[in-house]
Amino acid sequence: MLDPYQLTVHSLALRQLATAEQLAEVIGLPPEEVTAGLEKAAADGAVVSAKDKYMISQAGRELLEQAYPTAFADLRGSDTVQAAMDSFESGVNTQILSLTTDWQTKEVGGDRVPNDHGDADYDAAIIDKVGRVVDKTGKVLRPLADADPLVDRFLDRIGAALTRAEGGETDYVSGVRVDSVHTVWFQMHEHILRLTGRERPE
Amino acid sequence: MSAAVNAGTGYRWLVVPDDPAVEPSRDLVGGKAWSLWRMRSLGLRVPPAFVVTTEACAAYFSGDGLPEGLVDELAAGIRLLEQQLGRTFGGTERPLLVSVRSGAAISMPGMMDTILDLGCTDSVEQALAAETGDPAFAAEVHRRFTGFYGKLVLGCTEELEELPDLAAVRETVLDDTGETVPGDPWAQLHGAVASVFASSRSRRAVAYRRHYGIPDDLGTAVTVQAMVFGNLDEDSGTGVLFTRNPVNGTREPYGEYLQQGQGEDVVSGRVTPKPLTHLAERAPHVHAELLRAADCLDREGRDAQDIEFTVQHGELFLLRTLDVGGDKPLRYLPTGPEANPFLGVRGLRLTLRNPDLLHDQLRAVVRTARHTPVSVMFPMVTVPAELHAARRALDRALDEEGPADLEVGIMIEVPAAALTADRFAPDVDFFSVGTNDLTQYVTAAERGSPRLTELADPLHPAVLGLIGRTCETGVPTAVCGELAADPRATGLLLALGVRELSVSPPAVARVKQAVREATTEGDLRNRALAAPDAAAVRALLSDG
Repeated sequence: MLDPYQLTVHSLALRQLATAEQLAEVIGLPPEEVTAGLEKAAADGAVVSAKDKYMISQAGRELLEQAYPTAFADLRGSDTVQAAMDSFESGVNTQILSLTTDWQTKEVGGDRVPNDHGDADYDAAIIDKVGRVVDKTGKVLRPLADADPLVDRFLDRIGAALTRAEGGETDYVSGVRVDSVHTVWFQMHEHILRLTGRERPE
Repeated sequence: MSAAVNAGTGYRWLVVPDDPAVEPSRDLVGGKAWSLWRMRSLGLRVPPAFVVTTEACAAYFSGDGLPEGLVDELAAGIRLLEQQLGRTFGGTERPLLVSVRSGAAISMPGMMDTILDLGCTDSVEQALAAETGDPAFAAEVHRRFTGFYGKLVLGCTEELEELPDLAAVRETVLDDTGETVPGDPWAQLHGAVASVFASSRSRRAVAYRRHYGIPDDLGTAVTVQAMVFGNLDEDSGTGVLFTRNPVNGTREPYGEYLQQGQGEDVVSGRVTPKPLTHLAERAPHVHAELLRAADCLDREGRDAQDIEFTVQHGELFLLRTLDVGGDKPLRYLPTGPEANPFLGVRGLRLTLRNPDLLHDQLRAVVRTARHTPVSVMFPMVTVPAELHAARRALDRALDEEGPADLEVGIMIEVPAAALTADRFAPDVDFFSVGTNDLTQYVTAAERGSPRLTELADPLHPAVLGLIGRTCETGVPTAVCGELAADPRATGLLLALGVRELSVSPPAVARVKQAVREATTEGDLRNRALAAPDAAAVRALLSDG
């Protein structure tokens, strides 16, 4: 486990350039605690502040690289966790990426063009499929979620984004300005890569 | 939670909706099974079915797995279907296959879709091939069933429909889920029933109920219905019938019939069906029975009917009829092509064009209102006449279902409705301003478009002005959408006269805090309304 200070620095590796409140939402710590952690980290040189936003520094990245092996020793040594990650990468993660592509672009006469969201059935089918993949992700990542409480928090936030998308707020599928399914998925992916000491596959 | 054994039927968890004189409780059996009963009570033949009740669903959640005694009753229910059709579940001769579908009193997304052809195994496939003389058909039934079960029960997310054969489907399901479809038909049935129950608590179903104020403990029933086959012999076939001419709407039946074929054959394009007269020539009594049934449904439903039917060994079964019953998902309603769907037939405009659907939905709402407080809100209203029509439909539902305590309101997302809100005021208990849509209509800018973000801002003074104007009617006004969840806007909304904010659960704490801190200085309101654009309003809010 990371301690709250390490976790605060870690949150900036998942979400670049963010306010204390946004980071608190990612890691589920009280905003005051995150603010205090960020101020300390800024004094230590682990993060850089710009107005009310923060960025991680090279020193912060090194701090994390040193902390991970101890903090996540059990996870990294578990065959079940490694198998779950293999399944995540080759299965649901690939499916979400391809669904995001289908959401943003559409094949028309062999070419991919931006999806103008004029075809409600096309969009509904994608949102429906995303829902089934997200349901399945909960099962696939169970070994990680049992060892690390943040995984369930990410899954809940993805579910909340999906519910908004289903309710008609379609920027919650892959919008970059909001905590969309894709935004939170990306954060979760980065988180579990760091947990397990893996690189993002290309 | 334990249901008592019904003294009349001897069942604790099942209802068999086959007696025209005994109307089943819709809360207990769900809308689809109720529709089956209704067709049956009109003297129409439907494939035999039984229903696992919503009480069994409640017991499933209060305990661990299928409730005690249900496994035995499922076997008893299957025996009934076997007896009526002279077939055997899992049998090596004349096998019985069934469909399994969810059915709540109020239909909702997130519930499990229908599994067809359940009961199919390797030996059943052989038996079906021998009986029909069509091994390709039997293989296709097995392939499709494995796909349904893999997707809906085992949660496989790979595409299965396009895979060429059973082996490919099995391999993909195993790779993707680590599980296989049971080879025992009873295990298939138990797995499917449990999955239907579980789906009533899926994230999506829970969110939908919360959004529409439907009680959260409303579970689902499960309808198990025999599959019938149109490809057994020359006296079998399948077809569709429309009760009106699709071109000019006159009441003249129009349809197609495929002798010795299944619906899948038509859908897949393997064969081309013939006009209905073909059935009239081959089996005049079946044809006459079909026309009588169609006429009966057309009169009963007060609307055109689209009927799917199968003839099995010379016996007519009605499979599905649209415009009868209340379980038609909205997305299948034909709305016709529209140049700009965003400005087209949606919301109340859509439901008013489909009076039967609206009627069924309102009846379900009224029934719910008997045991829990309910607010009905009509979306996309432009003129008071639409509200009046909807209220008449509601009054009719109240007449039929008995009195219930209901609040009625409308969504304000059309600028015309906001500007004339005072003319809706006498007929509503509340307004709810949908700021996401309202903003798009007022600014003519799509929210989802990254290049229009600055224009499609709900803090535009024109949007705020419309919210203020709606509040001035004195009718309690709520705000929903992105704006409601933005704590920076809370004070301003209160100053405009808003009394309620609808926000998603994660935002509740933040907005509550903002409400507590809000100072309703009158100046903020006037300065915001006088601002040139949304950016100026945002600047105002961050100063204050």
